[in-house]
Amino acid sequence: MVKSTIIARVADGLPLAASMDDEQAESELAGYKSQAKAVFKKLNAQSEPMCSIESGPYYLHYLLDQSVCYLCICEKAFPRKLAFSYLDELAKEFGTSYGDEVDKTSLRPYAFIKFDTFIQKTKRIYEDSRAQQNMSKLNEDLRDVTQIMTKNMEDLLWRGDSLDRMSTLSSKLRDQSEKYRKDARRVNLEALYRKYGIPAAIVLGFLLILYLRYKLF
Amino acid sequence: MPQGYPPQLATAQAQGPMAPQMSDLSQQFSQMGVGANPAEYQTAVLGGKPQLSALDEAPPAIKLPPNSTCVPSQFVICPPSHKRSTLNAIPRTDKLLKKTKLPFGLVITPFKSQEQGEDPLPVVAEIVRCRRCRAYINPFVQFVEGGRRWKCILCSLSNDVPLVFDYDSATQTQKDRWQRADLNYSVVEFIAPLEYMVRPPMPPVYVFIIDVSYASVQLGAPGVIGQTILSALDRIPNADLRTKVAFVAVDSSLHYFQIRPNSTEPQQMVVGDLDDVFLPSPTDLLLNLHECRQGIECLLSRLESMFKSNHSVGNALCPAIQSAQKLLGALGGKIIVMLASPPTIGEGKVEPRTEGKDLGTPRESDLLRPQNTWYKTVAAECSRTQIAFDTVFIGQQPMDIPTVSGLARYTGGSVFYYPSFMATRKPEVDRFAQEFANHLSARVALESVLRVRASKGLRMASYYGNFFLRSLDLLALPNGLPNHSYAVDIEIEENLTAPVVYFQTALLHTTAYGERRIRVATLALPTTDNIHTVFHHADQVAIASLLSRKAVDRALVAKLEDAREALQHKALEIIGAFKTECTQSSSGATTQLQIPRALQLLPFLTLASLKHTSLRSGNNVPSAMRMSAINSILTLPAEQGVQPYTVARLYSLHDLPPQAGYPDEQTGITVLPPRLGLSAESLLPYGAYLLHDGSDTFLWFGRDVSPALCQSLLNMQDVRMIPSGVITFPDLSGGSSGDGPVAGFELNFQVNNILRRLNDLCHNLWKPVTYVCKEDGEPVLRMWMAQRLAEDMDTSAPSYQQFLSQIRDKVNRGNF
Repeated sequence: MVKSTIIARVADGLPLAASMDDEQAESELAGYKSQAKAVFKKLNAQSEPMCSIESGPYYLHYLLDQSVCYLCICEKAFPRKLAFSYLDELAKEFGTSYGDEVDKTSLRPYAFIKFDTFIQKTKRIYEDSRAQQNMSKLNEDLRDVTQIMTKNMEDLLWRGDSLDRMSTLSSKLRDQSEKYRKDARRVNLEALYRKYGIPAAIVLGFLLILYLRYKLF
Repeated sequence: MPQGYPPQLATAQAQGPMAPQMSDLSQQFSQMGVGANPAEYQTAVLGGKPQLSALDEAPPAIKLPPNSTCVPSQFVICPPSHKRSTLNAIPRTDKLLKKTKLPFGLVITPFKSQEQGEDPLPVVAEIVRCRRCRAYINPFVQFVEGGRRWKCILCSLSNDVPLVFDYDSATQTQKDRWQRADLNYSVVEFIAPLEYMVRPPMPPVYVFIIDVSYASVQLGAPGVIGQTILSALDRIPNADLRTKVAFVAVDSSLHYFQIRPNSTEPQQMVVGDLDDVFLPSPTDLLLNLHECRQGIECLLSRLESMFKSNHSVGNALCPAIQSAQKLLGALGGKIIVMLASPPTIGEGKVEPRTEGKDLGTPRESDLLRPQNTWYKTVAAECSRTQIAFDTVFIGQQPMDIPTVSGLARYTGGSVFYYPSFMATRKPEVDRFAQEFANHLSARVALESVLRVRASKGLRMASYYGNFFLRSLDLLALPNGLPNHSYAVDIEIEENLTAPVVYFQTALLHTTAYGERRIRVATLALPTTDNIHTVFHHADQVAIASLLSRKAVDRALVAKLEDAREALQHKALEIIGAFKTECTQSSSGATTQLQIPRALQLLPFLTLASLKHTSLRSGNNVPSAMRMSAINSILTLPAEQGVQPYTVARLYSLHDLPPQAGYPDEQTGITVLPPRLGLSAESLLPYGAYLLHDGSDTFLWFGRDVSPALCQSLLNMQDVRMIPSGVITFPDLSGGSSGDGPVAGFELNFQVNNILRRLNDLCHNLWKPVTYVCKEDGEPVLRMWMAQRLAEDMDTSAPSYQQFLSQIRDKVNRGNF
């Protein structure tokens, strides 16, 4: 289920609205919320519009729409399609209600906190992932899962990964090169066996016969 | 005649309801130094009747040396209603302060609302603070190095002036820094950026825990409560439609009310298992006021009929509080506890305390102490999660107010007590309805904290009021209110070398519409080496307010007798110190005691405090009333706490001046008649009088009062026809003061206007109930009214004249 939602401005990371979470969620999610803030800082206009970032037991899904970023922290088991459908609904409602006010420079933090009531209502609808409506949403071909970029939080924060569209290719490349390294190692090892395998086997066999014949000493 | 002001600061002296005229603009600057000419200070002789009109004057002028402020603005003097100091000229050394024996402290109303006629507070978007001591920029800073740096007033560090002062990057224009509100006004509000928020701004949340046990139903309380809240639903702060409410009814089990999103009918869920408290439903108990409005209205109007025949006698308040805590979770909010019977179930249950024979004896002080610590512990936990409590006590049952009110006292909430409440008594119902509705519609300061900073050498020693003290100097107020005030004792730790010292209070809060703001009030006071100056610039109202708070605090912690003793002793010390230090007859005896004009009412205010319900000796003050009075003393602002709550106002109605009760031509404010001395001497047998002490109004009729007066006032032929006791004062002139009086009822019109004006002066904190007291009427009423006549002798304390002669003797003898 959706644990927490934050809506922020892409340009400077200013939070515009957020869900008021209950006590349990607050204590568990404190670290992940600060990670969410770090993600906001890394966002810019060239960033990938939809992305899921893996971090510990949660996924941080975000959606970019008209210079506003909608981010939710969900459990890993929560279907990704549902999460993005939820973010999509939020984006539509927020865009129509407040879209033109987002770019004012003098906006105070959490200026649209009254959007929280809509967030709560929508969250309740999406809460039960086995509910009838949600099943039908899952079955529809809303978005191709492979089109949504997947990242790891560790990489993002410490290995200097970024959220650019172009980085999809480079991360694919990295995965591929990992695989290649594994394969290359394997092939190397096989070649070694093939080269030295048979003589080594013969020598070992010979030593074994000697040992058995003269096992008296 | 007050000392001169420089032209720029002259207008700042006009404060208070009846401010003295502004001084001449042509006074010299050279005489501006503090402590200039002792011969110009006026002393008064203690004797005769107290001059009560002095209570309406502004406090002694604060005379700052020239060029103390960077901008000559008339708003740099901190208005006394926001913050006032007991001394408007601070002694430079602790030795000097101890010699004067005057108490040094501040009385602060941090979240005061602006009244009609006052401009709204200026709002500033950029926050500029000192790097070292974190003080906020204010009108008293000095700009050094050609305006590139500013010097902090508290720690003297030079800080850089940010670019935003001179240049507006959004519009690419130059700005005039001298027009900035934070350099022109002493009280400003800053908009707090993200760093001042731990979490998104919380909405206003109200949870009502209503007692529906047999005792409460007998009084008709659930019905009245339901109707009151129903009528106040539109006034509860709900600007961004996020306000949440919840209702829990309590008798020997807990009743929860759930309203599902698409229905308008509330569902009642009863939980009888109270050992391990749980919420019967995870959702839909905490309701959004706007969305579930219909369901809530339906619930409130049915509250009376739902519990009409309830015979359950227990009161499960403690489990109710625990479940309300669960309901609010980390959100926080205000829990309003409405009790008509004592809590009998749960860990915090209270045992009934018999008090009949303990009143008037030293054991009475034990009755004021809580019997268990459960409530204080719960309050401490709750203030951490931004939960505040208000406690409302209804009816005559012994509910152990000293114990249960700990919930409100340690979370910055309010305590209400309605002992004579009954649904059939209309004046009481009106009083409850109006006061409670006003309370619900008050602007709240959510998740707020208050800190007071002072110049080097001054230390905040202790705080008085309803709050939770976190980390030595941070007052946590989960739901701050506009009419709550706090007092601070200040100590002089090191000798003060600067000519001016500063006090800055900062209240970081979330407004009811989700904006995080900081209200900063800066007070600048001059220092002096001259003991005469200190005495003549003391603020008697602030001193009386601070001393009465300290006295009731002492009564709660130690004994009532100690508190009374300490208060009297303090007054004696101050007068003795003045005699010794400032008058010619320093060591000999005098027949007449001299006192500075600024402190001329100090003995009277001390006597009035001693006679007030909170400290009164004798055996006829129930501990519940006393506790409620103590709580009022601790939280009322100085202006309302001293007058009229401690010192009532008495007016004569049979010889009202013609302009009294009518709006003044220039200001439009109703003119009040002259006050009379608070003594039975003022009550003549042919007269009618009005006594107002905030929460009650007394109409006193002599036995020979003229029938014409009775007719014009109450539409009754003769004084004998007027019923004694509680009445609803009729409005015989058609309501608003805009239309003139109806012929024949001019007096009624005037008195109604006067009453309205008196309530305005109290900021509508109370809706007074009117009692008719006749000269030959019931003795109980007469005694009750006589308690307010502070100049007279009664069983608890001497008369004013006797008190003065006692003081004179003790001071002359030199031992006290």
